[in-house]
Amino acid sequence: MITHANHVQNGVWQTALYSDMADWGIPSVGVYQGTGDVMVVSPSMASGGIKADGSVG
Amino acid sequence: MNADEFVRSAQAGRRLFEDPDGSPTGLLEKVRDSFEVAGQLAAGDLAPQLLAWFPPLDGEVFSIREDHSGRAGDAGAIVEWTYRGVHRSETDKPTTEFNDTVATGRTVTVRGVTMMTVEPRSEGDGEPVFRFARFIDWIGVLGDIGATINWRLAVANEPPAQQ
Repeated sequence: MITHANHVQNGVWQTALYSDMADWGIPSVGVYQGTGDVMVVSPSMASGGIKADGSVG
Repeated sequence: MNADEFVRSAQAGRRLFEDPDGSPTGLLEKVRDSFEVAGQLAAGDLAPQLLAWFPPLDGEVFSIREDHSGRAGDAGAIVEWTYRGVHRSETDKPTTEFNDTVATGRTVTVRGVTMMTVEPRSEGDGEPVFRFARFIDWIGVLGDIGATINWRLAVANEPPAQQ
Protein backbone atom coordinates (compact mmCIF):
# COMPACT_ATOMS: atom_id res chain seq x y z
CA MET A 1 0.00 0.00 0.00
CA ILE A 2 1.13 3.53 -0.64
CA THR A 3 0.95 6.05 2.15
CA HIS A 4 2.82 8.84 3.84
CA ALA A 5 5.49 8.44 6.45
CA ASN A 6 3.36 10.21 9.00
CA HIS A 7 -0.11 11.59 9.44
CA VAL A 8 -1.38 14.51 11.43
CA GLN A 9 -4.93 14.62 12.73
CA ASN A 10 -7.19 17.57 12.18
CA GLY A 11 -9.83 18.86 14.53
CA VAL A 12 -9.07 16.79 17.60
CA TRP A 13 -11.40 17.63 20.47
CA GLN A 14 -10.33 16.38 23.86
CA THR A 15 -13.53 15.65 25.71
CA ALA A 16 -11.55 14.67 28.78
CA LEU A 17 -10.10 18.13 29.28
CA TYR A 18 -11.93 20.27 31.80
CA SER A 19 -14.22 22.85 30.25
CA ASP A 20 -17.44 24.73 30.86
CA MET A 21 -20.84 23.04 30.83
CA ALA A 22 -21.72 21.58 27.42
CA ASP A 23 -18.53 22.96 25.90
CA TRP A 24 -17.31 19.78 24.23
CA GLY A 25 -17.64 17.72 21.07
CA ILE A 26 -16.92 14.43 19.42
CA PRO A 27 -13.24 13.68 18.92
CA SER A 28 -12.53 13.96 15.24
CA VAL A 29 -11.45 10.63 13.79
CA GLY A 30 -10.51 9.54 10.33
CA VAL A 31 -9.65 13.03 9.14
CA TYR A 32 -6.01 12.79 8.33
CA GLN A 33 -3.51 14.72 6.34
CA GLY A 34 -0.46 12.82 5.25
CA THR A 35 2.96 14.30 5.82
CA GLY A 36 6.49 13.20 5.13
CA ASP A 37 7.75 10.94 2.37
CA VAL A 38 5.43 8.99 0.14
CA MET A 39 6.20 5.37 0.83
CA VAL A 40 5.16 1.78 0.37
CA VAL A 41 4.10 -0.29 3.36
CA SER A 42 2.80 -3.78 3.83
CA PRO A 43 -0.88 -4.23 2.94
CA SER A 44 -1.35 -5.49 6.47
CA MET A 45 -0.47 -2.04 7.79
CA ALA A 46 -3.38 0.31 7.97
CA SER A 47 -2.62 3.25 5.73
CA GLY A 48 -4.32 6.50 5.06
CA GLY A 49 -6.26 5.51 2.00
CA ILE A 50 -4.59 8.15 -0.08
CA LYS A 51 -4.07 8.22 -3.83
CA ALA A 52 -1.20 6.34 -5.41
CA ASP A 53 0.63 9.58 -6.15
CA GLY A 54 0.57 10.51 -2.50
CA SER A 55 -1.71 13.51 -2.92
CA VAL A 56 -4.37 14.20 -0.33
CA GLY A 57 -7.92 15.17 -1.14
CA MET B 1 -35.06 8.06 33.08
CA ASN B 2 -36.93 8.58 29.84
CA ALA B 3 -36.31 11.35 27.33
CA ASP B 4 -38.58 13.90 28.98
CA GLU B 5 -37.06 13.21 32.39
CA PHE B 6 -33.57 13.49 30.93
CA VAL B 7 -34.39 16.87 29.38
CA ARG B 8 -35.92 18.14 32.63
CA SER B 9 -32.91 16.93 34.59
CA ALA B 10 -30.58 18.68 32.15
CA GLN B 11 -32.58 21.89 32.44
CA ALA B 12 -32.38 21.72 36.22
CA GLY B 13 -28.64 21.23 35.98
CA ARG B 14 -28.30 24.20 33.68
CA ARG B 15 -30.24 26.37 36.12
CA LEU B 16 -27.99 25.31 38.98
CA PHE B 17 -24.90 25.97 36.89
CA GLU B 18 -26.10 29.44 35.91
CA ASP B 19 -27.56 30.41 39.28
CA PRO B 20 -26.37 33.99 39.77
CA ASP B 21 -26.68 33.64 43.54
CA GLY B 22 -24.61 30.46 43.67
CA SER B 23 -20.86 30.00 43.89
CA PRO B 24 -18.74 27.34 42.18
CA THR B 25 -17.56 25.94 45.50
CA GLY B 26 -21.09 25.92 46.87
CA LEU B 27 -22.30 24.06 43.80
CA LEU B 28 -19.51 21.53 44.12
CA GLU B 29 -20.53 20.79 47.70
CA LYS B 30 -24.11 20.21 46.54
CA VAL B 31 -22.85 17.87 43.82
CA ARG B 32 -20.70 15.96 46.30
CA ASP B 33 -23.60 15.63 48.73
CA SER B 34 -26.40 14.69 46.33
CA PHE B 35 -26.64 12.09 43.56
CA GLU B 36 -29.66 13.94 42.22
CA VAL B 37 -27.77 17.22 41.87
CA ALA B 38 -24.72 15.47 40.45
CA GLY B 39 -26.91 13.73 37.89
CA GLN B 40 -28.58 17.00 36.93
CA LEU B 41 -25.26 18.72 36.35
CA ALA B 42 -23.96 15.80 34.30
CA ALA B 43 -27.17 15.73 32.27
CA GLY B 44 -26.92 19.45 31.66
CA ASP B 45 -23.41 19.01 30.33
CA LEU B 46 -24.29 16.02 28.12
CA ALA B 47 -27.77 16.71 26.79
CA PRO B 48 -27.09 19.32 24.07
CA GLN B 49 -24.64 17.10 22.21
CA LEU B 50 -26.11 13.66 22.84
CA LEU B 51 -29.68 14.65 22.00
CA ALA B 52 -28.52 16.25 18.75
CA TRP B 53 -26.29 13.38 17.63
CA PHE B 54 -28.45 10.52 18.90
CA PRO B 55 -32.14 11.38 19.31
CA PRO B 56 -33.55 9.39 22.23
CA LEU B 57 -35.33 6.06 22.08
CA ASP B 58 -38.64 5.33 23.75
CA GLY B 59 -38.20 4.04 27.27
CA GLU B 60 -35.07 4.48 29.31
CA VAL B 61 -32.65 6.96 27.78
CA PHE B 62 -30.31 8.00 30.57
CA SER B 63 -29.26 6.13 33.66
CA ILE B 64 -26.74 6.69 36.41
CA ARG B 65 -24.88 4.10 38.45
CA GLU B 66 -25.27 5.69 41.86
CA ASP B 67 -23.18 2.98 43.47
CA HIS B 68 -20.28 4.08 41.26
CA SER B 69 -20.85 7.82 41.55
CA GLY B 70 -20.27 10.44 44.16
CA ARG B 71 -17.36 12.20 45.81
CA ALA B 72 -13.98 11.90 44.14
CA GLY B 73 -10.99 12.91 46.19
CA ASP B 74 -11.03 16.08 48.20
CA ALA B 75 -12.41 18.37 45.54
CA GLY B 76 -14.22 16.42 42.89
CA ALA B 77 -17.28 14.36 42.03
CA ILE B 78 -17.99 11.78 39.37
CA VAL B 79 -21.11 10.40 37.72
CA GLU B 80 -21.08 7.11 35.80
CA TRP B 81 -23.81 7.24 33.18
CA THR B 82 -25.28 5.47 30.15
CA TYR B 83 -27.21 7.14 27.34
CA ARG B 84 -29.20 5.37 24.62
CA GLY B 85 -30.31 6.89 21.36
CA VAL B 86 -30.46 6.40 17.63
CA HIS B 87 -27.88 7.49 15.11
CA ARG B 88 -30.21 9.42 12.83
CA SER B 89 -30.92 12.98 11.85
CA GLU B 90 -33.92 14.92 13.04
CA THR B 91 -35.04 15.31 9.44
CA ASP B 92 -34.74 11.58 8.57
CA LYS B 93 -32.86 12.65 5.48
CA PRO B 94 -29.33 11.65 4.64
CA THR B 95 -27.07 14.17 6.26
CA THR B 96 -23.84 14.40 8.12
CA GLU B 97 -24.44 13.75 11.79
CA PHE B 98 -21.88 12.89 14.41
CA ASN B 99 -18.39 13.39 13.09
CA ASP B 100 -19.47 13.68 9.46
CA THR B 101 -20.94 10.21 9.33
CA VAL B 102 -24.16 9.72 7.41
CA ALA B 103 -26.89 8.71 9.86
CA THR B 104 -27.23 4.92 9.98
CA GLY B 105 -30.42 4.52 12.00
CA ARG B 106 -28.61 2.19 14.37
CA THR B 107 -29.17 2.16 18.10
CA VAL B 108 -26.27 3.64 20.04
CA THR B 109 -25.30 3.15 23.66
CA VAL B 110 -22.95 5.81 24.98
CA ARG B 111 -21.17 5.02 28.23
CA GLY B 112 -19.11 7.49 30.15
CA VAL B 113 -18.02 9.15 33.33
CA THR B 114 -18.38 12.85 33.97
CA MET B 115 -15.95 14.44 36.38
CA MET B 116 -16.71 17.74 38.04
CA THR B 117 -14.53 20.06 40.04
CA VAL B 118 -13.77 23.70 40.76
CA GLU B 119 -10.53 25.11 39.45
CA PRO B 120 -9.08 28.56 38.85
CA ARG B 121 -9.99 30.12 35.56
CA SER B 122 -6.98 29.86 33.25
CA GLU B 123 -7.47 33.38 31.96
CA GLY B 124 -8.00 36.68 33.68
CA ASP B 125 -7.93 36.86 37.44
CA GLY B 126 -8.00 33.14 38.04
CA GLU B 127 -11.30 33.19 39.85
CA PRO B 128 -12.70 29.72 40.67
CA VAL B 129 -15.03 28.19 38.09
CA PHE B 130 -17.06 24.98 38.03
CA ARG B 131 -15.71 22.65 35.34
CA PHE B 132 -16.60 19.37 33.64
CA ALA B 133 -14.54 16.63 31.97
CA ARG B 134 -16.04 13.58 30.22
CA PHE B 135 -14.44 10.21 29.72
CA ILE B 136 -16.57 8.54 27.06
CA ASP B 137 -16.28 5.13 25.40
CA TRP B 138 -16.04 6.51 21.87
CA ILE B 139 -14.79 3.21 20.44
CA GLY B 140 -18.00 1.58 21.66
CA VAL B 141 -20.06 4.35 20.06
CA LEU B 142 -18.27 4.00 16.76
CA GLY B 143 -18.71 0.24 16.89
CA ASP B 144 -22.44 0.69 17.40
CA ILE B 145 -22.74 2.72 14.21
CA GLY B 146 -20.73 0.18 12.25
CA ALA B 147 -17.50 2.13 11.97
CA THR B 148 -14.15 0.46 12.12
CA ILE B 149 -11.12 2.19 13.47
CA ASN B 150 -7.58 1.72 12.36
CA TRP B 151 -4.48 3.60 13.17
CA ARG B 152 -0.83 3.32 12.51
CA LEU B 153 2.40 4.64 13.83
CA ALA B 154 4.83 6.72 11.86
CA VAL B 155 7.13 4.42 9.91
CA ALA B 156 10.56 4.86 8.39
CA ASN B 157 10.76 5.06 4.62
CA GLU B 158 13.02 2.04 4.24
CA PRO B 159 13.34 0.66 1.72
CA PRO B 160 12.48 3.79 -0.29
CA ALA B 161 9.16 3.78 -2.11
CA GLN B 162 9.36 2.56 -5.70
CA GLN B 163 8.80 5.25 -8.29
